[in-house]
Amino acid sequence: MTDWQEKRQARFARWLDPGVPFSSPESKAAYQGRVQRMIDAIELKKTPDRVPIYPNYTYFPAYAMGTTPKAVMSDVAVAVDVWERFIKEYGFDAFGIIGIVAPIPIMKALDYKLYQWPGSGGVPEDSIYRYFEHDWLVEAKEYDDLALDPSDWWMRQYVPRFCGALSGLAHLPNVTEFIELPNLTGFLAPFGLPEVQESLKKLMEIGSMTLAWMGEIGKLIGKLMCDGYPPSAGGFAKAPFDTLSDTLRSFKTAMLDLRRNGDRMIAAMDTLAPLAIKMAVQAIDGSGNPIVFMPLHKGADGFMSKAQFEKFYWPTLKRVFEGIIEAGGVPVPFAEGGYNQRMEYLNELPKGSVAWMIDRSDMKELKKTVGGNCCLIGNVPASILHAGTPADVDRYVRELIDDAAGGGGFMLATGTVTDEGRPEMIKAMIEAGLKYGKY
Amino acid sequence: MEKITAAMADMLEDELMDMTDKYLAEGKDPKAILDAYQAGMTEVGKRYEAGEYFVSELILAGEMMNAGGEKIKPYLKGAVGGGPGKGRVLIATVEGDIHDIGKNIAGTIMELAGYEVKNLGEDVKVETIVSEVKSFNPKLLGLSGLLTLAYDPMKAVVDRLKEAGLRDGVKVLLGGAQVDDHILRYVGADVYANDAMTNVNYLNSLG
Repeated sequence: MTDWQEKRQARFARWLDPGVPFSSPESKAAYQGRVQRMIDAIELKKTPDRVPIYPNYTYFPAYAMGTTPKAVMSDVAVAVDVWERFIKEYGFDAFGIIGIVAPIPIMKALDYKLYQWPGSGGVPEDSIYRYFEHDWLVEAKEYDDLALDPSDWWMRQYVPRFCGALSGLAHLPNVTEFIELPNLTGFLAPFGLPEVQESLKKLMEIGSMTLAWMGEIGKLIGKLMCDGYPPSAGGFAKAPFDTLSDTLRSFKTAMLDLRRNGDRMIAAMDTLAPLAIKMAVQAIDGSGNPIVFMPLHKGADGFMSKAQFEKFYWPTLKRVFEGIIEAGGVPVPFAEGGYNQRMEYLNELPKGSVAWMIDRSDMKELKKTVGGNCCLIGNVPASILHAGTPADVDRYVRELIDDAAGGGGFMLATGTVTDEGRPEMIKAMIEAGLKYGKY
Repeated sequence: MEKITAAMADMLEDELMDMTDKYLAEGKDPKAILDAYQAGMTEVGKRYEAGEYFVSELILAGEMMNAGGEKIKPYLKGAVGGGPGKGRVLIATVEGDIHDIGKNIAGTIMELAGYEVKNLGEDVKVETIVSEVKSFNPKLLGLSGLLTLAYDPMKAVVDRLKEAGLRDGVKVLLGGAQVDDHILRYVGADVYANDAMTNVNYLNSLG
């Protein structure tokens, strides 16, 4: 066994036995059965019983339990109640990341500009949040600042721009200039500025609000684990290119940067890649769950040419995968959209090291080309879930399991992240998975 | 002028801008310069079709066209005719959805292919689309949406076109990563596209 495999086995052992006080022996058996099913799929083994059913939703629980995303985003007590009832009623083999429930009171207090939420910025009351792109990295030369000292750029340039309440942080001194006596007063004086103090005060208030919110979510996660339900992931990371093109630059500017500022982008991504690994590994260390969820965006078919993908997208993403794998973690990249022109890259990692969540790619073809090397998770399309009948879902799942589950290495999930889905269709998917997924 | 066309086609942005300034200062025919830009754009479209160019090149070509156009405009005496070219196309992201990337790429490609494209933007109300179909009279209506909540507004547009007696006069194309045969039937549209070239091929097939 190689070094990464040994580390992974240690993480799997901790995942299986998380040291929580299970509610009953049955709850412990249910928890361990579910985790073992996922481990076996990741390791390309047939499970003793059946195909695992993996979650891929954000606000579907709110709709399914008869409330709205706005209600769960406004009140953590509603969120906790809804998620607990949903998870116990639907019976996925893991539960989706509750951290994605964006708290409206916190986003409002922060004057958070990356997102708009139901009832704000033209987003309908009964909808979910929307993400808004913007050139937060204003001038291309800031790529150089980011590459040189990412934390400083983040704290004094980026954060004050996208969090209105923290605009005063732009006046902070650079912490690495706090060297010996000559810089003592120069470093400390900015903390006396009214705009800095105002932002720090707000940050403390928002921190308290967030701690209280997260405390309730944390209690729920603990309770669900004690009752037999494992979380679907323990960490999160992004492809460095997506960090640049989703978050720091608008899509249009990022696409122009490929032509105009390619070297600067690559230098910035070289800086971001080890930070993505660090973020993911710290999270799985803390949570005890080795799964690192990685939603991928601009790598899908249609955004970049093959040459651009090879130059800009894949090298640092592969580095992030390798760093997480080296640490014993399991990257679960979500290949949202189609990756039909990218299949060859999906195979470039050690056998059993990554589990790919698939949306619009050809599952039958992927099983042939990639399925022997890594676990596939997917891919009941949103179109059927929306416009079809439960019988259509049943048929799709039966064929999907025929195509993709043979020999193990498969988990059943929706292809698209589910929000306003029809409950009877998701239930039909789960029922079909239980019916046809037996080994 | 071949140099202008080549600089556009080869994505040599700085050279293209310098050359444009130089030619205009030397008193060269501004219409000929603009035509050379257009020829460059046509070449960009060909390279996109061949898979050599991708989204970043289309966007940069658009930027160069706009920047060059701004330089050339003051030198042009009369109006430059756009004209309907090969036909009119109306595109919109439907109500409730604000995603614009795919729609705008599709619009650019159809323009490069010689169609007159009117882009209504995002989160466009059903009634607005229907009344624009009536007044603009396009041969193709492209309805775009990324979210699954776009499915029902797409269907509402087609239903309203039928009620208004406009459905037979226009082909309806659905665009977006999550549209497929199921949604085509659900909405009652004519064709769907997950990539920009499908639109152009379909349009060309209409004659």
